[in-house]
Amino acid sequence: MSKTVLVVDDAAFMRMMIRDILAKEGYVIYEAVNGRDAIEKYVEIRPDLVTMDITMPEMSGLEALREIRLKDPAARVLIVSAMGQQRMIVEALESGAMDFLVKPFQPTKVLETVKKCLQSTPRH
Amino acid sequence: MRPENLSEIQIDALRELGSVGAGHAATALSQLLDHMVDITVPEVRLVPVSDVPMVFGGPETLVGAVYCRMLGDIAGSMLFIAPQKALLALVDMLRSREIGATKTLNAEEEALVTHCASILISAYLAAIARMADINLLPSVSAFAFDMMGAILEVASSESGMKVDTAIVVLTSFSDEHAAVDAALFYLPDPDSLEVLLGKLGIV
Repeated sequence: MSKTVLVVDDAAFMRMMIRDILAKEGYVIYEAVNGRDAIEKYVEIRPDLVTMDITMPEMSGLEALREIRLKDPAARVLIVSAMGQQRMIVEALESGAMDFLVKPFQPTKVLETVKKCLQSTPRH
Repeated sequence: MRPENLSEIQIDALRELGSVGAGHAATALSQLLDHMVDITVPEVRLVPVSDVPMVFGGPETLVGAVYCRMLGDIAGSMLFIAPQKALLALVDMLRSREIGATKTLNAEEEALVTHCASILISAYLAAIARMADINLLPSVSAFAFDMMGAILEVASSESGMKVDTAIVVLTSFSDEHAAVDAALFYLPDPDSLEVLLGKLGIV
């Protein structure tokens, strides 16, 4: 069965880019426009993976990551952000993110990282 | 290409370029300062060049600006602008001084601000270049402390006065001591915006 991915980003262009990369490989894509929307959609859809931007209006990706992991400790979340500072990456990983992808990205890197996250066991 | 001729997805793409560029600029600044620097969600506006001075209160507002040309597959002018108060706070941040300690800039501090802004501009350009898969390089930067209107006039004349649109990335860089409001302005030369959007696949 196709894996489901919830793509969370406030920029429609970025959601379109990630959606195009993943949909071509057979992933079923859902979208959310900020952290709050991501939590609601996560509860509703229970996707296999979430790709999460950090800098978003209403609720940041890191806050949403923590909320989602509280609701579902087995949630797989991949952070996709331009905020590639080492401490930001460490904070995301400590908050339960499976991996961190720095924007801008190469499509092959997205596919590789998504596949790796889906094959790994989430940390509880 | 004027802002009103851009489609919604094109505007969104240019906003995202600004946002990614600001993220990389914050990373560069945090490496320079050797501590965490956060940015607010960047507000990216596409404005007619004639309206640019209004971003910081009008043509007579005193600002510090670092200017350079963007060279490579697309061309244009790049400006890093911070209002006077933010500029002085940036120097305090860079020199690890108490906020408010810097009252005026000496030559050494002007060089420091220019260096910092050049790093931010380079980080921004590197992000655009990678995202659009193009080659981009900044020219040597120059610092000026002047009225917003005067600075814009110089930047526009470098582009041959044919620039319609400016992409403005407004953000606030902050650490545990201070927040610095600043803006990066990208004034694309004629045709460069079309080339950029073409490279992003959204002409």
